[in-house]
Amino acid sequence: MTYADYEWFLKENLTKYAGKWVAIVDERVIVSGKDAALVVKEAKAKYPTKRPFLAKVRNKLSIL
Amino acid sequence: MGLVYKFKKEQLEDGTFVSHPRIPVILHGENVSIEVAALIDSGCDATVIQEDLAKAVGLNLKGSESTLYAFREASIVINSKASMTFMGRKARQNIKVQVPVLIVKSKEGFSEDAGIVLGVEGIFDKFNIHFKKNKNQIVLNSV
Repeated sequence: MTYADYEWFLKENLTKYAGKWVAIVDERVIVSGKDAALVVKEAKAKYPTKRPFLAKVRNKLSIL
Repeated sequence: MGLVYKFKKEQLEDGTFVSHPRIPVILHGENVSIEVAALIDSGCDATVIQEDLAKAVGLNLKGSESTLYAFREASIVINSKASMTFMGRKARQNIKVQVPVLIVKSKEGFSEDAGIVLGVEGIFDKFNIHFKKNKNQIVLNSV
């Protein structure tokens, strides 16, 4: 990942991935899914030389 | 100056927006290291990681179990520890720390929709953390 992927994540509206993990590489979502392990595995398969930035997309008002 | 981040504006189901202090950390495990957006929560006693993420990086899941209480819920968690790197804009600004973590099963935990929550123990004693929402800044200074 580059820091740019984090900054892209901050700016982007990812609502369509609500409740899912997204893997971001080169400022775009390359994989999404409910299970982080599967998302990482698939992202690594697609981009073996890159380290994806992972984020859980939230859309619920919550108290932790 | 320390590490400076911005709030992540996220749209809720009803169309309104909220801002969350989510910062980039590298979570190091036995299998792999993953960069992930972590939520800072001063109301959470410890750092909490979803089980699926813990498995993805290869954290130790064989620790003792305890119960984590939140608002009106209780969850069984596994006591473990993890190395994580707080990422700066430039790699030379990165700060690596080791912290105790609680691993919560994804389907049961109150943090189900957060992925990783950075709580007080092990984090707030390593960083002075300033939330400046009016400036859209979160500033972490290493202690």
